[in-house]
Amino acid sequence: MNQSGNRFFQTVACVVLLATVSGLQVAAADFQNLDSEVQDLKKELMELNRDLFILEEELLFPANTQVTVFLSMDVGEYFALDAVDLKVDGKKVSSWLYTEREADALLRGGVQRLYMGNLKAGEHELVAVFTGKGPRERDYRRATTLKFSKGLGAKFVELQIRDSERNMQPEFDTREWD
Amino acid sequence: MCMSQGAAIIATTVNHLSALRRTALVLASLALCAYVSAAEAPRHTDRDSADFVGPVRDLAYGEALFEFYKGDHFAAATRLLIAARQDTLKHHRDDGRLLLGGLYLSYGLQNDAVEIFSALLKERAPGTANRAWMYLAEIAWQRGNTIRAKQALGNMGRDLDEGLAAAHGLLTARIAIDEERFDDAIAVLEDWRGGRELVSYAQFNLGVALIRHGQLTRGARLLDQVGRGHQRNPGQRGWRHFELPRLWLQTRVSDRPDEHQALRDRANLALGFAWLQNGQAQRARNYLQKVDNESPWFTRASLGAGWAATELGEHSDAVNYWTQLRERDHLDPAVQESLLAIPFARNSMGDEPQALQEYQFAIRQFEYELNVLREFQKELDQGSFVRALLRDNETGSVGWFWNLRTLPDTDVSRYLYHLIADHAFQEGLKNYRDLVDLKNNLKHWQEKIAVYEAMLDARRQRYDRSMEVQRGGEESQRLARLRDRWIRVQQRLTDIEASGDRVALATPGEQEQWQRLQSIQNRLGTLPVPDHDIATDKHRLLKGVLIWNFEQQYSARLWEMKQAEQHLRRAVSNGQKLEESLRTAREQAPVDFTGFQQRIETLAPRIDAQLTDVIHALGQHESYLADLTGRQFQQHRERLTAYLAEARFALASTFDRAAQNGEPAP
Repeated sequence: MNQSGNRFFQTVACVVLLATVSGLQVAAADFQNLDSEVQDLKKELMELNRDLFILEEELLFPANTQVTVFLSMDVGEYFALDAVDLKVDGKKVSSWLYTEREADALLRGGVQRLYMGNLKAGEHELVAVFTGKGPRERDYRRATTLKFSKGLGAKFVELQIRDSERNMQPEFDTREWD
Repeated sequence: MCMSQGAAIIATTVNHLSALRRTALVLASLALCAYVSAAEAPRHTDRDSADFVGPVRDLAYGEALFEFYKGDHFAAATRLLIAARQDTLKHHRDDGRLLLGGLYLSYGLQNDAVEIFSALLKERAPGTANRAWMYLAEIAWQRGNTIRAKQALGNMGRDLDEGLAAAHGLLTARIAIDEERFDDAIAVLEDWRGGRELVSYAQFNLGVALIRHGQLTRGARLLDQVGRGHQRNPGQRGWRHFELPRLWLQTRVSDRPDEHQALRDRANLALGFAWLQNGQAQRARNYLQKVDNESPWFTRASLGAGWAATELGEHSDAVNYWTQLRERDHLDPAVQESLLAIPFARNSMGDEPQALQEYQFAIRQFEYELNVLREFQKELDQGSFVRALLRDNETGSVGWFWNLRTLPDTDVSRYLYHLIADHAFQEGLKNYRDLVDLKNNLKHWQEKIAVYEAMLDARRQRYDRSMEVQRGGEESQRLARLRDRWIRVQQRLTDIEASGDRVALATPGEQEQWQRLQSIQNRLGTLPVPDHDIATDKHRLLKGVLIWNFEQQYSARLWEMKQAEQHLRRAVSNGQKLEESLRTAREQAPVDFTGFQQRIETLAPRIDAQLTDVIHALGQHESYLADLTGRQFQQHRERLTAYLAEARFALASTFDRAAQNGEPAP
């Protein structure tokens, strides 16, 4: 091979064997510095976001009137959730149509905050209507009611959808949290 | 170049980055699995989902999981931070922190993630901790942080299960090769044992390490096996077959045929060039020809095969190898080289007219590309490049697992495909995108905080008005009247019970009748006989009926009165509690107002300050990305300029030779 050919070959060999070495890698050090600053900034912003959320909740929903309703699912073999309507003291306060991803998040152990509002101390009634597909893919609609007493502290109510292995049907339950 | 090649580059990059982010997510899932092992057994053990967490015992943790599973990781992290601040994770404190660590990692907050994992994993079961350290090592290495990768590998315990030991060995060897410590890499890989799906990778790396260490024959034998798709029998010494843990496999290569094909291509390419350097052109060509023509390494292989043919004096074959590269991406250095290699071969074959045409073609190509780059440089200098790049990728969805998917449909996009295939550029762009989202988030809070301030002011005014009413004392007077009434009823009840006074419980009608009978009785003595006797009998009869009724109703009426008294007592008690509660609230309200006001006054400037920082960081990232783009384009320019100069020189030399030989210019 002549000199020119050799020079070509050297170039090609470099292209192949040192393919990963480029000027862009020099920039990796610059990026690490920049990234380090951005990490600090992101962390500070996440903490600020946390503080703002806490302020918002305490300002809009003071503990003495706060009522929060959650929804959870345990298994879900006999019920595929499509929608939930929630009424408190006869007034609709929340309506939720589930995407596949949201329903899946519930099935995997997630707990959804369905409603957060203010209620005065005393007796109240909560009615949740669940719509979806029941056993054998049949349309299914079921309501569950909870009469609860709101005291001076914040109130947490969990709506639970469970499978009843014995009845091979879904069960809709409520639980009051301290 | 065809757009499909560019799309393939994007796809490769996206796949690589997705794998990185998947790793972070898997790490988050690992936290969930760790919970399963630590907490009580799930009620429904028939669930086979790897990350099913079982019954959640803290609502706040369940909320974070819901956000995490539905893909809103910022919300999930915020929920976990709130829960930690409010101390609402009584049962899932560690699980929450592990999940937060995974989320931090996916958000690029490596330092915070490592801090969490380091603190928590020491207390975990060794298997879980080792698996987590393995992920951290992998992520650090993929992000180019070799020091942190080695630290993470060093944190793994000695008693690794077989799958993790295999993963540990592979990464240790890869790092050693990167650092050119080939002895170390060879030592690790020769004793390596691992699953069938990883054997080819271990063989490939060992082959590369041996060749670069100078042991060409041994290395070539291994690469040859990989190139032919043959693995050493897992039953042989050092290559036993183990199944890797499921989670690990999620972040590793699958058994997809294209991945094995890619590995075979890489092996054949490396082997081809190793033999070429060793002066064994025929052997080299045999391997280079095996590289698949859909492979990203095909252009390099064809270029090498052409040079092997040239070494063997087979210039015509060399031209054939190089000519087929013409339809490929002209930004590929191997393709650019081939544009110059073809006329070189033509000259060697004595075909100078064709060589001149080929040089002219190469010159036109290089000039065209240089012109495209010059035009793009103008856009880059205007500073709008990054924003323009993102404008076409605004999908409305905000997320940390975002990738650049589309590029402007312009001539320069061919260069951008190469640019965004670069990891540093993608990471910078992702930071930029995160910062844009954070800027929007801060602006959103900036508006909200102003509303909350106004709301607080309105509440304070309402409170002041209610205090004026309070000063009027209407509520207190009403409660005082109620209390008086209760005391009167209570006293009357006591008297009735003590005296047995039935009449006191009579209805108003009966009381009136009783009064009339009393009045009549006083007048009976004035009546003459027999009217007196008749009236007295009638009076006695009527009185007897009334007394009978009083007696009959006494118990029931006494019970009713007691009920009424209790009702009044409760009303007074509730009223007193309410009054107390109102009094406390009224006393507390100014404190709350002040507290909220102070918090707003602290938070509002934080928002403003951080917004300024974010905007500054955005500017820095724009400059960084533009600089990165500029550097890469500069490399393109320098290479093209060098090739152009070479082509022009070769063209001029050819003309000179023709002129010296007295031949007419072609």
